[in-house]
Amino acid sequence: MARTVGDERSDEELVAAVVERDRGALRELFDRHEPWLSVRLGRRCGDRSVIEEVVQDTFVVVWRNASSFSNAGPVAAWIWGIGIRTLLHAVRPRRPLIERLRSQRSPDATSAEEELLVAVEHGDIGAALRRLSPELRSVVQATVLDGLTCAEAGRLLGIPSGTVKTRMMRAKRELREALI
Amino acid sequence: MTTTHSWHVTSDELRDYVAEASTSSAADSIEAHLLACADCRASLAAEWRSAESTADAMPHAERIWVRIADRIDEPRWPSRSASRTLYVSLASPPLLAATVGVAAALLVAVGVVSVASPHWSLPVLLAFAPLAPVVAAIVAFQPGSDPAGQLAEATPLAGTRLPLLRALLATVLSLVSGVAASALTAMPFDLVTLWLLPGMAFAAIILASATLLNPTRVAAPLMAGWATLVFHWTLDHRTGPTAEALRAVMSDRQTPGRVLIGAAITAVAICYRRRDATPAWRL
Amino acid sequence: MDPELAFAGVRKRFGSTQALDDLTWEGGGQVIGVLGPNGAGKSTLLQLLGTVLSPDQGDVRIFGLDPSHFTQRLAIRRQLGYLPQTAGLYPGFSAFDLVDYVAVLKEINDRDTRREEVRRVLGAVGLEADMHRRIRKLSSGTQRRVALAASILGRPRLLVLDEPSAGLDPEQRIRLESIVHLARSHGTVVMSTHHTEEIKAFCQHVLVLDRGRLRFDGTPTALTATAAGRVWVDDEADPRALRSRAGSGGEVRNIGTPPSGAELVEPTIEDAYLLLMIQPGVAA
Repeated sequence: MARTVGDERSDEELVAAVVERDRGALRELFDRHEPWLSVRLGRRCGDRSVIEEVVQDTFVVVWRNASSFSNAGPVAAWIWGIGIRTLLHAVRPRRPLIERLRSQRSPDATSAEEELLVAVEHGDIGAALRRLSPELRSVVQATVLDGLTCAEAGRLLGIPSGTVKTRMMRAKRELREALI
Repeated sequence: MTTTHSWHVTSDELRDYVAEASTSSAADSIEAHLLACADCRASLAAEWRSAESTADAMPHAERIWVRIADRIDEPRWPSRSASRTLYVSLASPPLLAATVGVAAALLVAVGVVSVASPHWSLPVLLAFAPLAPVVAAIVAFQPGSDPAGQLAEATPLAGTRLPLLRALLATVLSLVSGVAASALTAMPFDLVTLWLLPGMAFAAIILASATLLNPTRVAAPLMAGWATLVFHWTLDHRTGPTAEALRAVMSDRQTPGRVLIGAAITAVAICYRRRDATPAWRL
Repeated sequence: MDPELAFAGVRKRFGSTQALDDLTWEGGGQVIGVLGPNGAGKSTLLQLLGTVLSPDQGDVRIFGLDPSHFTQRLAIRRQLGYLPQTAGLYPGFSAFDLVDYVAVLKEINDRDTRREEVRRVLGAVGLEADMHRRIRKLSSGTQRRVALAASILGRPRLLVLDEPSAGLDPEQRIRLESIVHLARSHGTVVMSTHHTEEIKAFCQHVLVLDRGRLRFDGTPTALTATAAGRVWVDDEADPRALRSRAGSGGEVRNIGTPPSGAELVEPTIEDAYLLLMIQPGVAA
């Protein structure tokens, strides 16, 4: 593929260019972000063909919804958010609307947990998480690291969102003790 | 965004991560770090590409990109013949704007007149409703009515068939709005034909004249003459109700109707005979 | 076999201007450049070939077919690509949608085929990255490339380009060159230009028009040769010259009948063109 070497634009500039329907900018974003996205999604789903589908859908969503990027965080985190939700959708199709409404009575709040972990230097998370039991760690991974809501994490892990919340509270308590 | 990091993922750690051989807690740290560090993402990309089997004819990323590109480069017009023709005919923003504009102006004018002076609403409708199909016919044959401009002229479809189809489509649209305007004035049904006939006849005359000269030059005097005639008839019959007067003109005397039908047939014949004359039906 | 293109006694008048005056010419199968000053009738000639204009008098034949006849014109248009001088593209469409639309007009009906073809032509003019941007957001040179892309859809047997290089930067001019060379491999290219150097770069044949009349018909080398022995250089403009102009090395090139002892130089195609234009009535 003949392209000029070294697009100097930042990720944020590329997303802004994608909003302006710059197809070359999407290609550059794809080149930069497809590898880690494929690897990271691959750790959550073993089926390579599913991952390829999900990566494909993710960048189509990036193209269509580029204007929804809010500049609040890194572009990579935004792409991951799209990617993990697309994966979720691919492996566990959504429940009927009425069921979702029933479980949506209380809004999911992950902000407290996020604050806790954002305050921690990334390098230390591993040590702290290692002490958690596998079921608590999978909840922390889905909500805090993958950025899913409690309901989405519940769908990914196959447990009710209420259970996600209680496990998250336990994990938070254990983490705080480990880190202090 | 430039972020300085206190640490980077080592190449050994990256290799393990890509090979899914790192411990889950190490992977968690790497993943959190990758979101914020472009350098490590680039290292990972290099690692990921070199780990890929070279036996594949097309690299994995290229394969995904081709499929993404296919979904982004989505042709707008369908494959199916009938719906494609319809969509393409509608794809004339100036024509649609003109048609809608004329229809709206007609409705507003008739509405205002019917409130201000009910006696005049019928003559106004009769005088100006035929304008809608005429404008549609003119605009359909203007070079600017096609999205691709002059580029479209030399194509098999656009030369003659597409403007004709557009004129027809816009005429139908304008007729619908004319019927709505008729309903607004509570016009008796038989009188609706009073303006349908001249509308169609004038549109045919415009199409025929477009093979010879600029159709706007024909349209202006034609429409002015028609309006004058209608108001003249109305003033001539001030004694009775307007509807009766116009009905008398159009049906009893019969002459205007016959002239219009004759003119329409002649115009269609000219269109057919001169279909070869000027390639694009316009000058 | 019929020539690809043939004109016989073609006249076309616009108001008081005689755009083409008794043009008779045959040719094809090459890249044919049409050269001439503004108002020489270049565009009229190209519009006749583009089947968007009919002559007042005389006959035009394209692939042996008569463009004034409805069905034959349709047959010509199925193998024709025409880039008008001003395209007038609708600004609200994206480049991709617009070229896709022209592809529909060119009867490329299947969507997958159309997608590939639209991508191919937009790639050929270097618009891979910008193909989804609205036309109103593109520079005028880029809009010109969109029109150029649309004209080469379906690999036409006859490609008619009216001043294709206007508004293009040097890099895009090189792209145009490869487009023209590719188009030549499946047919005839007729292009008008103001630039003599483009004739040298693109064309195997050149027509020079002046006030509706054909002044030269031959190869670019033959055109250059018409000025042999008629060009001399000096430090300043020679009053005896018909025309003087600055050369590339700061010297002054004088064109006309050289005085004795003048320093004669090899003519360029531009010298020959200028000489042709300032010698009225000299037949080709």
